[in-house]
Amino acid sequence: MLLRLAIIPFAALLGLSSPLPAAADTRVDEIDALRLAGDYEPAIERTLAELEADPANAVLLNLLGELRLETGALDAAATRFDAARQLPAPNPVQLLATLNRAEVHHQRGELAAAEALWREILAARATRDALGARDLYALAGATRQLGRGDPALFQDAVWLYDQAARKDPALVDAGIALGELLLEKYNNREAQAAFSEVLEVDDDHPRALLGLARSQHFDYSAEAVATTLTALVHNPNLAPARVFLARLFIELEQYEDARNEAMLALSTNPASLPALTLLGVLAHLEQDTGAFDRTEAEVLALNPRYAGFYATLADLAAQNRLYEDAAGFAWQAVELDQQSWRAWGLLGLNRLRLGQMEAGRADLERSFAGDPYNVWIKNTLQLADTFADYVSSEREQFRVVLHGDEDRLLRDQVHALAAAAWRDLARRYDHRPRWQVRIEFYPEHDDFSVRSVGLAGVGLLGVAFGPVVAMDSPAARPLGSFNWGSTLWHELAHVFHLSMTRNRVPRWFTEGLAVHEERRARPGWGADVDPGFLLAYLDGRLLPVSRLNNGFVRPTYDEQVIHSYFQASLVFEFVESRWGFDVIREALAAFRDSPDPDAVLPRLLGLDSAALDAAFDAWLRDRYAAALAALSAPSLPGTPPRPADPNAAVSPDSAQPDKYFDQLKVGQQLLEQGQLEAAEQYLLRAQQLFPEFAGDGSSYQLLARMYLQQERHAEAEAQLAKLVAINGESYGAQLELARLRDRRGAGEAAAAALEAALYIYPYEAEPWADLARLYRARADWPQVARVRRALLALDPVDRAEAHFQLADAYWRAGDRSSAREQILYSLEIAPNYVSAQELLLALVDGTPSSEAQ
Amino acid sequence: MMRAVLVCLLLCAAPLAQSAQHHLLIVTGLGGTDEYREQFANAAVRLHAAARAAELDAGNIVVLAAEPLPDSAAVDYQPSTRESLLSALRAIGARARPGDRVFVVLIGHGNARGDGAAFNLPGPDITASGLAAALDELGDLPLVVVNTASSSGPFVQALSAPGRIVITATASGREFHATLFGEHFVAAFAERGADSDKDERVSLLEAFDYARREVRRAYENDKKILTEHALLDDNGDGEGSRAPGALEPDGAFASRVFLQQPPALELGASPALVAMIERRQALEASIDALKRRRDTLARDDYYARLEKLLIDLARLGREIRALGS
Repeated sequence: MLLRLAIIPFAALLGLSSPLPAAADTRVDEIDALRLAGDYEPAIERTLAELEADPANAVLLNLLGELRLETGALDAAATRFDAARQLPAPNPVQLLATLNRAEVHHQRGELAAAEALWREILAARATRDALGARDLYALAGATRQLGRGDPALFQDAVWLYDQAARKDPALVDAGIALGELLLEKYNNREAQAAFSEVLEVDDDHPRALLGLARSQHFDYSAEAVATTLTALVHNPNLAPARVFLARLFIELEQYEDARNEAMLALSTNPASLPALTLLGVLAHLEQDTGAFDRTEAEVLALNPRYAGFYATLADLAAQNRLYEDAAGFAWQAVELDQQSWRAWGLLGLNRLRLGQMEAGRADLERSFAGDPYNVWIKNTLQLADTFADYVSSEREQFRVVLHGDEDRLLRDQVHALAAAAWRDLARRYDHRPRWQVRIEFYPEHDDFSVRSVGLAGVGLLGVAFGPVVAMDSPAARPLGSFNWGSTLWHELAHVFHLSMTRNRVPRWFTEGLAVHEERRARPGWGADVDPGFLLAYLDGRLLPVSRLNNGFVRPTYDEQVIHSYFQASLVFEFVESRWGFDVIREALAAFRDSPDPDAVLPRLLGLDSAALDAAFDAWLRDRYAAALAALSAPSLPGTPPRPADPNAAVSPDSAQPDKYFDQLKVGQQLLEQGQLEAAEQYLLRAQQLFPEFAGDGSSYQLLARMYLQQERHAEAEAQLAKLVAINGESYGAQLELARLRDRRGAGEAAAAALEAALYIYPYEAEPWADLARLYRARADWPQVARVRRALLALDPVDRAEAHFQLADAYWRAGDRSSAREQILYSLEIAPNYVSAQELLLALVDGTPSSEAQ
Repeated sequence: MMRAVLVCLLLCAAPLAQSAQHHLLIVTGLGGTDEYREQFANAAVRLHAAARAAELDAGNIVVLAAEPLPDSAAVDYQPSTRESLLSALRAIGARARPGDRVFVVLIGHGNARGDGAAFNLPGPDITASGLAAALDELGDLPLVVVNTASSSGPFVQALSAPGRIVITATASGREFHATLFGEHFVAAFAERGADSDKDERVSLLEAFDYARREVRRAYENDKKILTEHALLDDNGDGEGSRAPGALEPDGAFASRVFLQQPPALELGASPALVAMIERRQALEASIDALKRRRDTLARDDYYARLEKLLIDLARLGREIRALGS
């Protein structure tokens, strides 16, 4: 009591003095308990009964209105709220009932009426000298809504919610609303704290649990589903939780589950606009235009100004790679409501994904002006500010956009590879995408990350939106972890898949097929098998083909996404080898119009899903039969194989001749001890057992190193050649291979290895210089000129020499105009450079390059 | 020897004058660890060899080393201390004639404290102000001072004076990490690649540029943030430039100063040759003047004018070489 007396004067100083909370009303508590558990009908009946006895009870009237609102009876809710708010003072829920009445207007799209009531609430702040927790909560709600027109008000709303929650910790609605607002404004850390604070008071409060689930989803945590299900255990009729779960299912591409959840939400609240919206989303994703039109009409009948319908469609269309549709929906949203900042943001982001750079940026500026808290928009605008540092070049169907520091180095290579990929894929798919493709390389991974998902830290290497491909440049990744050539090929394969299917291709299908295309493109490109993949197979952790998509969208162990990429690529190796590539093309054509993408491939293969799963499993088991046996733990005959333990101790005495890890590890031990002859036998045996693996620590790597040490150059070269044919990211191996080939005079093969190395790391001058020498020896002057251009781009100290060498290559290649330009640059730096002077005179005098020394 | 002098006479843009002497004082400081001891010793030995290759008289090269230099280098040296450094400077001052040039290169670590920046030597360090006072005693002798140490930036302001070139590895005393600049600065003279204008000599500006670029490249390759920003001051204003150039406030003077011993005038040169060399100097001056006006001209116009001058220069070069041979 003393404490309470002490608090009141302090609160009065803040202008928030309030009477002590009203004495607890057990009737309200009991009704609230029913409501919290989702027992809406009994709650309504009980409230009606109490109101018969006490018809002028404002709290009960407001409560009944809220129950009606939550169950979709908007007219009935409005009547009760009007009754509650019109009761004379002292009326403890006057502001709250007004806020609720405004919400009914809002849900019907009567925005002017709603806004008038929100302003009425705000006006009460100035006229009332005593504000209770519920009044503060109502004030916060009205302030929050008016924040759409004045984003500075959101800060006030946060403060008011916080004050309400502090004033009456039992008013959990304030804490939950605070968390929701903070989450809406991308402050997840504090949002999570707000939800947790409520859960400390009531650890199974369904709406607080729902808030926590949303917060977890914001952090990409897989726990979001479980937390939502927990909320539904406590209130199975909590429509917003059903809606949220439906949305999660849509993101997981589990459309039937999503539909069920949306329908359950509607069974509680038939007027739930978010639930109806998700049905619209499902109809759109499943290409059911009839259902879509009906849902759209239903939504707009309930609320003709409901921009959230189109904004959500835009959001989820984009998540399903339907970027053109997303931009179209976002446009419809902003046409309906010019203050839908979310929709402006979605419009901008998707226009940028479609390569509409100026328009997209303008949309984002508009979104950010209305909602400066959106981190995605802010990050993207900051990235857009750096676009001036990038240089774009157009050739054929590509616009290549490179950072100014990398443009001259990479431009030729990127254009050449993109054109080669385009020709190859167009022939293979018998298709030419309709877009001019914009290819963006980002030397900072965080910039690429923002470009692809709006936030820093994404683990992707590249992304294809259709007309736009964005990816890391090699500068963005640690050496040896990235091959920009194979990544570009992969993304361009996606461009074909997206074009052929009008962006309606399942994730597993396009990812697997793109990796398969990488492996076709160049030796060593694309993901390869490693022990971890086969151990996961032996451990039963790989998913069957019919559920492979889950490995991408909801992984259950750390390496599952990587394993899924590789496994999906094997599916196409399997399908193409058995049925031919035509069936894959047909599948892509079928996805475009199919309402059931999962059924497409089995139908075309003439198998049901289970049969396809079994056939692939048998193929994989056969494909890696030797390696699987070598990676299995010893087991009794007749028992299923188990994965071996890669960390188990082993010695020459205990090593089993048919077990990969035993042979490899003993070989490595002996190598470290300098027992090279003995080591070689073990390592060769390991290679024989698992020849497909050439990653870090593989037998190829160890043997090549050992042979080099022993100056057994031919054997070292053979090991390196096998290594790079499997592993496309080993820069050191490619350089060493080039050196060995060059050493024995195999210039063409050496050049091939150097070219391959430059797809991994193009920033060292020495490989380029070696390449120039090798091409020069073959008098391949166009190639010498290409390589010399790159060398010049590496900012050599001796620029006069670099320009001279490039001029010389142009001259010999017959490009006198470029030669003359470069020789002027050389002599501008070094006017007395004799060799350059002689070349200038040769160019001026028209001396043919055949007379060159 | 005669051929080398003749070649230089024919190719070098420097005015024909009676040869002055170059004096070089190389000082290595405390390494602290074996890695740096070895690095500093190697740099001193390489610079010594480069100076000999640049035809500096052996008697004009003094080496003071904090740690023993490798026997294989066959370099005479004395221990480096503040006193031996000051004493060596006094000796050079006594020996040098008017017009001679003195180069002082400090290779080691440094630090900046409340009492100013210092170069770390066995015993008391030499501070920037202490070195400035000792250099002032050399009078009007043209001076080049290169401090490759960490925290060497304040040496610019302390040593700056008209007719002096001051180079430091760092821009301030706060850049206190061990530097890479010295290694690359020495490499500019010891290896090929720094002679960007192809006149077969490496100017101080070219060496600075080379070292600066290679330092940046090394940091970029290691994906590290650049923690050293070298400075060059050659206009005596006490403000070092990070990016000096022949057409910039700092750099014009350094572009005309070389470690290489200037050639002696060949008395037997023919009047025709001398006239051609004078014509060449006039063309070079025209090219420099055109470069200065570059920003005021349309690109095509600039290169058309440049090409004409360069063609004239190239044809003249042919004639000179023909006459020389």
